Amino acid sequence: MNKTFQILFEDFAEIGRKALPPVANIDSRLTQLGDLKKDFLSRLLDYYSAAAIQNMAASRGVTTGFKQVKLESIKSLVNLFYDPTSIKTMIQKLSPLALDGLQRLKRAGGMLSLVNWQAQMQQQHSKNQTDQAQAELIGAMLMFYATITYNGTEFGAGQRHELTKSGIYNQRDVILWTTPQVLELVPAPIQPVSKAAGWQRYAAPVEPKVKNSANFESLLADIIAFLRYLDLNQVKILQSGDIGKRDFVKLNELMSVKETGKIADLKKLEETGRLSFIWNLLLACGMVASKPGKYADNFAVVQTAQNDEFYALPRYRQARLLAAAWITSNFNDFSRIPTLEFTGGLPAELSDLPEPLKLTAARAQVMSTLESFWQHSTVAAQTWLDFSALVNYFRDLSPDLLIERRFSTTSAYNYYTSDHYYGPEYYNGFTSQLKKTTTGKKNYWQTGVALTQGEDWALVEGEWLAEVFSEPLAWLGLAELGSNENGRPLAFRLTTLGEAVLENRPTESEQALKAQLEQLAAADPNLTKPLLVQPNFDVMILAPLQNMALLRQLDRFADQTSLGDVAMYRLNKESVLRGLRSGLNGAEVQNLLEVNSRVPVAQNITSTIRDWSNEFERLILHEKTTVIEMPNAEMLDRLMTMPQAQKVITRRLGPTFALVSGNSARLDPVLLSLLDLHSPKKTSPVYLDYAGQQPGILSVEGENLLRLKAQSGNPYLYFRLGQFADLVEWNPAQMSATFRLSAQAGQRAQQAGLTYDKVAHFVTSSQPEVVTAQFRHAPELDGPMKLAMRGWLGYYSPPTGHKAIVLRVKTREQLDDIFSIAEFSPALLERSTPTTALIREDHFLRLRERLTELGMPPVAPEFDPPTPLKLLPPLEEPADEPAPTGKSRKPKTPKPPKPHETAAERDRRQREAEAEAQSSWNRSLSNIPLNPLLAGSARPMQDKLEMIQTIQLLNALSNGKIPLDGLLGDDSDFDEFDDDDYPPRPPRPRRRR
Amino acid sequence: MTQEASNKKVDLSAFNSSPTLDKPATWLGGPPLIHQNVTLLECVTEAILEEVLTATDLKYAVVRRISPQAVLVDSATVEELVKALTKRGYEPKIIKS
Repeated sequence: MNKTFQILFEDFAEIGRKALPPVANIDSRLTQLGDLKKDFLSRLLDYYSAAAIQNMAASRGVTTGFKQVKLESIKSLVNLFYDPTSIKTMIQKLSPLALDGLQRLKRAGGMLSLVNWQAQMQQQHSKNQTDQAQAELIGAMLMFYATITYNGTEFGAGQRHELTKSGIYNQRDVILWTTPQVLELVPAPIQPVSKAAGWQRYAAPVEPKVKNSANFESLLADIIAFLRYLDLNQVKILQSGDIGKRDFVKLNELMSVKETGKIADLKKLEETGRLSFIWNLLLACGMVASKPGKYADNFAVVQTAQNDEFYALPRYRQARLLAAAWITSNFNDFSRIPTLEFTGGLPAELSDLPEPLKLTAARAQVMSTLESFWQHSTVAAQTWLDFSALVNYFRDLSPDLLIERRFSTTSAYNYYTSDHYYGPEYYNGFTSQLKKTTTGKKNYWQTGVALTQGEDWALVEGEWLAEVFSEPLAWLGLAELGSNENGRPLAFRLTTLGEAVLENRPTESEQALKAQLEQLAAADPNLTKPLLVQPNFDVMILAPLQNMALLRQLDRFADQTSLGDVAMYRLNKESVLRGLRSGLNGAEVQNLLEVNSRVPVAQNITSTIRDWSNEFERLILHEKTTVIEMPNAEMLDRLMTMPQAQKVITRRLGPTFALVSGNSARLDPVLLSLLDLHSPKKTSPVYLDYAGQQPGILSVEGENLLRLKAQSGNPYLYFRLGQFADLVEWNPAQMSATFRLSAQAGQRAQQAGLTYDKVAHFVTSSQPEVVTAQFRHAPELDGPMKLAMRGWLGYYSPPTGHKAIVLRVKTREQLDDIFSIAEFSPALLERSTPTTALIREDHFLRLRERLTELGMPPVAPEFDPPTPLKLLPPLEEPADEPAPTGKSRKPKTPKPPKPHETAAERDRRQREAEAEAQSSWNRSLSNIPLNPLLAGSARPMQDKLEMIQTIQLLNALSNGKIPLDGLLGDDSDFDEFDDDDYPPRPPRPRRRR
Repeated sequence: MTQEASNKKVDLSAFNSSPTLDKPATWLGGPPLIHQNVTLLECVTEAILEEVLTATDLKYAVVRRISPQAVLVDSATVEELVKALTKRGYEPKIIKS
């Protein structure tokens, strides 16, 4: 039996104890209180009034003098504080009322809030009696007051304690405590189980109406349907641990008992009832587990071993296992209470919503109490028992069943203002529809009335008990809840299955069925077989829920078409392939059908299944296996004959290869000895791990060579390199090889689906790591190899070439404006920079023409039309003028028009400015060396200009084939000119606006 | 191997330049080799293996041919390989060790 099942088959009480340890064990304060020093005890008792101390002294038999009564009494009482004899005597003298109070304190672990203790006592006794018991216990020095603050336990504050009233300011913060020595001597409370009052028969004349009928069979059918869905679909588990909406909506369609209400309106699985219940059961008993997927997702996986084990269990054991799974599960039955109205937004520390572990402990307590009662009672199953008596019984037995009341919330929280927080003596976080009175403390906007912890136990814990009987226990087939016509719970009863589960024995019907089957088997074994395989590929399972193990096996390779008294399945190729994929083989499928069928399986069925399986098993892929390669066939022959080798080697694969079974690491010593034995030179076997790739095994040589380091090569690495490189050299003895990258190998790699990234990652991660002060990382590929690999592996697309003219402007806006016009856009090849455009060569002349028309004539001398030869006028050599400088070359700016200037004067001044500009341009040309030969010569400037004109003429004649600038000398000579100003042109005179 | 199958044998060297595609990795007197974590593909007949090699991308994934009916394949791309084989109607039965 698996471990989860073992735990779940423990006693219900034990399951509860493991979920939530007893309170006494977790309270370390109590241990300290059992070992207080005498001076501390004196101070502790000093917090009590003189009258209280006098009472304590009297009850403990301490006599003091008349004067300094209190101090003397305290001194004597300190000596008796932990004295077992004195304590025992006092306990024996206690009234039954006070003993009940002390026992309640013991049941709470030795510490309990005063409010809670009083509420418990007042459920059984009157207020006066409760006060009397309190005074008696305080006066007997068996119970004390304290309060718990952030500083620890404080024993007094403000006023002195009286016997019936603590001196602590806020009575809600007062706790009662006693010492471990007292707890040891307090007799155990009478087991409430023996109180018949808690288990009264329901005696009303009207038969209660069953809200949800107990039906374990339908739960089993739904579990099977649930598991089949998980098997056939890849169901993702969300971060909350539940399945998503899409899945639970589909699952709801498969269930025999559908969710009440409209499931499309629900957002989370936890909002559902039965679906959430089944899901949590399956998780709790390990029949479904969460498996991490390829990425960060988790998926639900059906655990075959646990399921097979579950289906093989008898019915009452299955029910008990699922009941235990419900106890330990995360199913929240508290949130299913229909009469409670939950109000969100309250901090967890202020909310009274029970934690999952508290719910587990409560469910375990309910089941263990039922179990204990049933094993000692004579009440028959199906007998209606009074529900209100059950509620009273649990209230008396365990007031803190769901909500911890041992201490009131600390005083700091009393000042905490939050919605739905009503105070420590109220239930916080929810209200009840059943409490609709107008009085009571409530939030200023909240419609519900706050529930009081002392009074409204039945409306909270009692309603939870009703919910437990109404849904989970009914779904499990163990119990039913009876209600009146208004739906209020009246009675409950256990089913025959519930009785069998609590008594841990099979049901009578189960035993009868077993006997009947044995009888049938004795007459004809075939009659007990549940399967009918028909020639039309339909398969019937009779009494499917009695044959769940078979049902589960059939589920693996057949499609269910219906499930009722008879389960109908259909065989088809896809379903059989599903089974084969899950690990079955054709023979197993045939065998299962033949062994369980009442009639012989038709031949067409067996032959078809055989054909399908043969087709599927043509190819078999063994993942992560181990293969031995021997140097020659004879050695493998010898090895295969060795008995030890036969345990290790599954079978021979080829002349020199054999398949090894299991984990080879586990078999290493055997293999080592065997291989050593058969190796002619006693060579040790070499282990080649195809999964491991170590950095540093590969080195790059030159631009294209990849060399595997000696002793690091293996066939897998050769394969990886051989995918994208050509073998150059291989040395098997050295276990090394050299490969060369090439265009042909790149083509091959592309056909195999390799990309540059994959290849580059393999190459770089196989090279020695680069170690810096902070990091270790794989090296990068050097430039030539990177470019070659990218080219050969198709990383880059082929470049394209175009004839183009470069058009440059000063500002980006100019190009934007030009090419925003549709007329020019065909001319644009590309904008290479914001101020540079590549123009299609064949469009350039037209573009130039249009731009000229628009007042932007492009300066492109290569495209200028040939000009007629015209000698420039001779320049006057400036005799006395200094050599022109950059400043002097700058044309003079025309003077601004004078006021009252006539048109004739303006024209004259314009002409003068143009003549000045022409003169300046000619001067700049005279400074340019024409070519290296001419540069620096003393020939007159006129010769140079003639030369230019001659070249221009030749240039035009040869259609631009003779570049002018080549003759003009080196480019450095033009450094003083901007590219845009080349060839230099006369500056335009600024026109007057 | 039959003569027909021999004639139709796929030349794996056209798809990979590994020296051990069809050759032994050890030699007479050399060490026995234990290949760990390998993925082995077995076919019922050698004709089926050749057929699959011809018809599918298996030829690019063969690390070694170890017998006429069995090849070692690239473990890193086994998922893609299984998908490709299944798409072509050669779904393999997968056995996980």
